[in-house]
Amino acid sequence: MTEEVKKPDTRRWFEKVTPCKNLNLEREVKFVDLSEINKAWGKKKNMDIPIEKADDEE
Amino acid sequence: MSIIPIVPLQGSTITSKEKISISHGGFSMIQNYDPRFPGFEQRKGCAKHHTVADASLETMTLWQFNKGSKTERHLYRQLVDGSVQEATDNPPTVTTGAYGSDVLAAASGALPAAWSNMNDLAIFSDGARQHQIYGGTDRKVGAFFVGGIGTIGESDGVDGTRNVTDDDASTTATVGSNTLLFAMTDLPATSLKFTLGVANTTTATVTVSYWDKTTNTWAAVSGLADGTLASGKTLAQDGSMSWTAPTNERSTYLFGQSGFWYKIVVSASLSATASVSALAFNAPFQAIQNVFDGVLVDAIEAKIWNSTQLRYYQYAAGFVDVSNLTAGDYVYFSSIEPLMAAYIDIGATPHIKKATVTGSSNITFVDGGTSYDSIQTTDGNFLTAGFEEGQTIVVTDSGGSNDTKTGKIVRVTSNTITVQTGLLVAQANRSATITYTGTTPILNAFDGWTGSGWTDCMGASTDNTGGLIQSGYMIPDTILSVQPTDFDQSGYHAFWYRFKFGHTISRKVSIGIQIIPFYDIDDLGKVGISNNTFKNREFYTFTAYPEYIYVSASGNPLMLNGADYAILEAGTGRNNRVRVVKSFHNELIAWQEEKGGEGGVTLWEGFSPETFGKLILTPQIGILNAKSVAVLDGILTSTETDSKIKTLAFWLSHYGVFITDGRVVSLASGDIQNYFDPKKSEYIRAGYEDKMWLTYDSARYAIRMGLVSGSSATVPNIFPVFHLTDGSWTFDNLAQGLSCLAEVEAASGAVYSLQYGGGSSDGFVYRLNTGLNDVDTAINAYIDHELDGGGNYLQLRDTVIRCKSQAAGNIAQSFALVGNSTFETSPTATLSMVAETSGDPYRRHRWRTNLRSNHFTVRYSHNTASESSYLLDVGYRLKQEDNNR
Repeated sequence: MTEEVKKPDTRRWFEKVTPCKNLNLEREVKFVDLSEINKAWGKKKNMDIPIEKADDEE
Repeated sequence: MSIIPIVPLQGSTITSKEKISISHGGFSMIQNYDPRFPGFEQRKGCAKHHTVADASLETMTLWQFNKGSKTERHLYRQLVDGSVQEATDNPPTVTTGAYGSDVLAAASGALPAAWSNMNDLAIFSDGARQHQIYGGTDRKVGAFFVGGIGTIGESDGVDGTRNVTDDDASTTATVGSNTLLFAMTDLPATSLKFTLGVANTTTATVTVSYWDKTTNTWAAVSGLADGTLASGKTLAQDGSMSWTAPTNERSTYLFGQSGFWYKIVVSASLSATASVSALAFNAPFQAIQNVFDGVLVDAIEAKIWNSTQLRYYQYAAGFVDVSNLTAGDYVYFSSIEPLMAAYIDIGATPHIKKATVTGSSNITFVDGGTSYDSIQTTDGNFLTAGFEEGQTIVVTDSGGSNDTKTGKIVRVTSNTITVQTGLLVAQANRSATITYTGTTPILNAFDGWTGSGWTDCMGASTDNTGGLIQSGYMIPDTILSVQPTDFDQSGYHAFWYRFKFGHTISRKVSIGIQIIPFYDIDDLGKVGISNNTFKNREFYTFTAYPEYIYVSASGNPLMLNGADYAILEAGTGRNNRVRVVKSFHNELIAWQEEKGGEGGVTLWEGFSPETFGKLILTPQIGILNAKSVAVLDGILTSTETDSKIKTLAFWLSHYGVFITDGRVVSLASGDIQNYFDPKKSEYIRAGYEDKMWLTYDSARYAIRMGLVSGSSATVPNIFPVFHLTDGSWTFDNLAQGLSCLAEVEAASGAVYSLQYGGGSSDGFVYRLNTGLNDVDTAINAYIDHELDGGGNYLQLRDTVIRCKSQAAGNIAQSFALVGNSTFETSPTATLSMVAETSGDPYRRHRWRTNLRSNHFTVRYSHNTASESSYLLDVGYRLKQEDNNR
């Protein structure tokens, strides 16, 4: 009688959590300013509305 | 007049900042406008899908069940009382009257449901009852056999499956000259729909039986109505045999296939040419069951109780020596699960019921004198004929010296049988016959352990081995009360069964024992929370062990057992419920709800239990409910240095709108983070998590959401829209608040993809993105453009705007100063959108504004029913003040 037969795995069908391999995927974690987070869609530019300089600055 | 640079309108609403903190040219609100990159176009309105509301109930979820194998659509809505209705008309047809009729009854405490489609089966989970499954209309049967007897291990019958499921009316399954038909479905059915090739002409009626779990055998259905009956002849016309859904039905294993089998017994042989060209079934939504995957499972081990020696002998279940088992001896065996049937494999060592050899002048009898006598043959066939030591044999040799001698075998080889001394007279080359006639062991008991004793479960046809003469199934009556036990101090708990025969088994018999287990879905849980289809498997979660995800075997959503079934554990050990499971590119992501400040998002790769790999994306951020996530392929994202097409998942958390690309979790709602800031009065309301939603709207290429904002709202009242082209935010102000949104395939018309929304408190379902009004209400569209002098005073001398020409209507322009929310009564402008010259596509206005402030909010608004508006670009003549004090 083998050791395996002496101590069978009698966990039932709803008890055996499937062992998963650990995915060591490359991750890059950055801490970024919330205001910069939307860079995922590129840096959203505001409309470039010109302001004329004051006359006394000219 | 000086030239004003005209700037195309584009940008995002920022509500998380003070107005004067919004950068020059930004927007504090873009309401009911969609960006057009550039330009802003007023969003479309909505229309009622049906004319009569249903008790003003909130529509929690909407989902279209759309089959892949044929054109069949069902639009379901889940109401806040837990009931589910099917729409009377498929969109875009508007129903005069109420939405539809109930397909699932109300259920207290229902959550926003998860829906999925696997193999054209609709699966529904609402947190208030068992997972529900539905096969739609006229689903094809899985198997159809003509003839046979209908027992586990069936060997007879003609397979007509292909001919009744091939969509070819010219190929049929002949049922004529038969009285027994068997059909298998992958769900419990309540009707079988026959399309006939040749009608039966014999007068006959049918009885239909299902497999009953309490008796583990056939039981007649109740309420049978035979729609194929005509003039007293069954199968005489196309139609359905229908019946009342039994309460104790379960799957069984016939003709080598596991499923829900039906036995149709015809009272008289069908006419010879009768045939069936198509066979389908129907059934309502019903609770899922657990169907045996069709792969027999080895028993754990076995013990033989020797009633003479009063002791047990222990064996591996694959080799149990039952030689010489006497009438009082038991075979005990253990199983991890309760059994439906046990397969007894006798291999090459059957019980010997009879052995006989007749010689052809080549049998020689040897008188051994004081030693044993013997019988010899030149054929060498004594062993293969079944002779064994200990057998009592009879020699018949008409006219010979040893005719009708009875003796007992001492030894046997292929060519010599040795018998007792003094039995035989020497005589050579006879054509004698040697015969052993044994017993046929009759199964005498089959018991299961039920906690404190053995309970008889031997049925009338339990033994199909013929007394260990052939391999076969033992099919006991079900013992639903079977209990695990540490039998004979085996060292483990399992389900134990035993059987014995009323006769002695011959001396060289060994058997192997496998079982067909009975898997009770209630062992996983009685209340389903979420589901999803991924890589041809169905993924379920329950209220019991709520962080576990149960993964069906490939190809069948009801096979939650066997080597191809898996249990995945989300998160890091907390029992937070998995509320959503979604396919994500080639991966799977599960979201757990947030409890105590923690949730969890877990990703799996792989396609089978052997290959699943796990990555926890975040143990912190979780999700609000099942309708708060959208997964989208092909999103172009870019950084300052790179552009990538990605699959992204968006979801709602207490902490914001989050995005993941399957590796990193990021916040997307920075611009509107005030709604997720507990310090703000507009913070999303606790206790109303299941009311909020987030869904993709393909017509607007945007993620739309509904938030319950503030301390008194009870349904969504803020509707942000996240535009995927550039990540900008706008807000919808909906005349009819929505609690959910769904993409729907149109059943008619020129538009393939439609969007439908469920009313949050009015009992209506709406078609979205259609018309110019929210039903009859004008759409109040405006943008608030922020112009900031950076603390310096500016003169706003002139403004210019261009818009797309409309048949009628005006843009109202107004101004608020230094960040005020109240707009000045003067100056204002009413700017016509009507083409200056008929046919002009655009309309331009420039007017003298003459305002002075360090910050301007410029509002462009349109709020007239049955009109649209499309703002293109604006220009301002802004000048710093000389005197800037």
